[in-house]
Amino acid sequence: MIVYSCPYVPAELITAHGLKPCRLLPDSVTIKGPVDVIAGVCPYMRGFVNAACSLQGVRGIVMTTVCDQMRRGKDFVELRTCIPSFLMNIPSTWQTSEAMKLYLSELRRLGEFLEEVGGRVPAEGILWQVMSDYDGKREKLRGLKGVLSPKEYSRAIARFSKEPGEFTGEESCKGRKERGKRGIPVGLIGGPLTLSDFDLFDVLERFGGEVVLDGTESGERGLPAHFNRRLAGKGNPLEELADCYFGHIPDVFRRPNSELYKWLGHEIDSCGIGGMVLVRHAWCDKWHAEVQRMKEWLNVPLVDIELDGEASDARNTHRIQALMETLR
Amino acid sequence: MNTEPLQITIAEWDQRFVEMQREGFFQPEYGGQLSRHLSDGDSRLAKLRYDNSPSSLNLWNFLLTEEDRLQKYKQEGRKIVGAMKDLGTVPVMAYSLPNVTAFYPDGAWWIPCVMELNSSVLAVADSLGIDESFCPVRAMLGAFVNKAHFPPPDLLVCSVGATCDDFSAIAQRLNGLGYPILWWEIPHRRMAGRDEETVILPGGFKCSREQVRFVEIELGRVKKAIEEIAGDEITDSRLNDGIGIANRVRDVLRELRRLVFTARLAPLPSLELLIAEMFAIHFCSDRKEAFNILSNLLVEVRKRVSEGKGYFGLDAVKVFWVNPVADLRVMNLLEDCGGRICGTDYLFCHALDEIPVGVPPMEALAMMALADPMTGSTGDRATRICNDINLFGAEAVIVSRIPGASHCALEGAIIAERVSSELQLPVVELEVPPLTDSIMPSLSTRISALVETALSCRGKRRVR
Repeated sequence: MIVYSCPYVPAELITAHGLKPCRLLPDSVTIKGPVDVIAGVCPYMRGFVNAACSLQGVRGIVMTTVCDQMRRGKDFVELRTCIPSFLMNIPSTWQTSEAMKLYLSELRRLGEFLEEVGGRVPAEGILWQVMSDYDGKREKLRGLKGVLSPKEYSRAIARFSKEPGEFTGEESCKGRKERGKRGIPVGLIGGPLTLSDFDLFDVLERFGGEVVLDGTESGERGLPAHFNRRLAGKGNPLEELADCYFGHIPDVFRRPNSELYKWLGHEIDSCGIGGMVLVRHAWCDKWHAEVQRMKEWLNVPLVDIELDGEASDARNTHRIQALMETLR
Repeated sequence: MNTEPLQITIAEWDQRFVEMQREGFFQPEYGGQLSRHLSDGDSRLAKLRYDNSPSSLNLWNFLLTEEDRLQKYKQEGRKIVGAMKDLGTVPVMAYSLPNVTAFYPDGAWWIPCVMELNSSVLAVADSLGIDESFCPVRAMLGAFVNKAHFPPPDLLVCSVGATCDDFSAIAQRLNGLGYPILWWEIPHRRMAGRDEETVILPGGFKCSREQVRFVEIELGRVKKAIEEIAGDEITDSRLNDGIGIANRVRDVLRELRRLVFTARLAPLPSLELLIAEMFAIHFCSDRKEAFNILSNLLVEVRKRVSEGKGYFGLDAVKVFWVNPVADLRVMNLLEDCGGRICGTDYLFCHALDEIPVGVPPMEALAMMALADPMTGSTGDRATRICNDINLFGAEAVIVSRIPGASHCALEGAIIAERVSSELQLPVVELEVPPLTDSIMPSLSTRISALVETALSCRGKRRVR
């Protein structure tokens, strides 16, 4: 099993190497492990590293450079455990062809790492096959939006990310129909959620809201674009992977991060969103610095919620309650 | 006139300045009494103690007049490049053209310290949503907005990728306010993989040839942008000259550091050495004068060493300092507690290494940029720190945490672990905010305890 957290790591590449990809959302962010509880350390990074290192059967941990905390989290894995780890350079810049080339070369390097930890060199055509399979599954996954409850939908995305090979997309929606709108439409935006952070959906619902957009890193925003299946078997699958992941997933760490705003603007309009909740982990500078800018830029109200690794606190609940009151 | 090395207050400097004038000491254009900067709002200066040499006076005056220099250049029509984050690479390129000056807006992080509460930079940053949970470099945002500290640059460039999140986030906020920024990528430094060529970088770190090539292309974009604003070409010949001059400055600084760290008596206090080291990154906006000042300081230090003169006594504990302090006063405190500086990593030690010569100049600069300790793993950085400790003979280590900085919480623990396990030296971590007055007793206690521990370890065999 290869454990990772970042949406820019393609599960397809891991599967094509005969290994099991596991994009892990930590259960709780306070468990013990290589990263201690230190003031200034992102609780999500700590939770991810500690959870990944505690799993059985981990062949390797892949971390990326999308944030400094994760980049340095890799140092702890290296220093304090024997688990092989790989740091993938995800360029912050994206407007040059060199950035795309760098991402592509990092995919190749990732492939080498996977071989080093026991993966096999993918036979010809295997990667295209896996890409086609996962693309189909993602299509089914996207089709669950509006059928499952918002919380169930986001959890389905998390489940798919954790075990894409096992996901069928049918077990959870058999016999269900379009739910229809049940509350004030609200969007989530921000960093990744831990499993306990999914309580936020319940809190929003309790106060009359309904999450119609999960724009967190672990939600819809982190899904890659559809592959161009017409290229299957013809072009270079890595180039297609790079385009659909690096070329299409909008994120806060990009410089400039204008594509994130463009994507968000489009989603707010198409989902008819009345208010936004920005979710960020304590010490996450990249999301924190966007709070005010997003407030200035959006034409709907936004509250930000800081998650500190503990269960949702009264302050965050009150902030959500106040947002929902203003939207009624 | 008393020429014995002595740390003096700003008031004592005024008296000494009068005596120096009477004796006909030459004062450069930016010279004058140090106390005049107090009326500019630099009130922290009243709480510092300074080396009493004329060379040090020039050092301080040159530093404290940089804003004036930049404003003057702007009025004269020189092109101003605001280089952000890379600390030492882009300015070498910019100064290769005769009508371009580069500076680091990052340097605004010392404004809240030097001006204490007289500057609005932090309040402006707060108002823009960049609060005290961010690194003090958020002062830069306030300085851009209040326009009181440096002229608007003709070109702003910022390295991103393997950099700290605070800076990247704050620069993006700046960009979001309408300041155009040329972003260039500095990837996380890594070892060469299979079938890749290894390149040894200045300072000894290693990376792959592919990474050098990538950064060279990125720097090529910066070069082109500088050429466009300047209307002039940065030829290889000009760039080689620029690298040559930067290397001369670095040579002087390396010798200065060696003497300060290894002399029996410290020939220069840590505060002045910190200021001198900072000159390496962008020459304090005047390359020629920066070189002159550092050369004169080196002459003074050599003289003191040869005469056996210096500070803090023979028993002072030699301390290696990791990360720059947000409050300059803490450097005085180190010496008050019985320490002396013996090795530093202020996050720009790559700017003190010789830029490679004998390779194409853009490749040399790419190697320079990749040698930045921040672009690699903390393990790499810890290795370099341990090597320097062995080289200079430090007896204790202070890891100075920058409040809010995304890297400090994590790297401090790793550096401390490595130093303790490999060298068996005592290490403490301190958090140094821009103004430490309220926590001075606790800082003092921690530094004193470190010094006492190091003293008690003296003469005892290290168990490896």
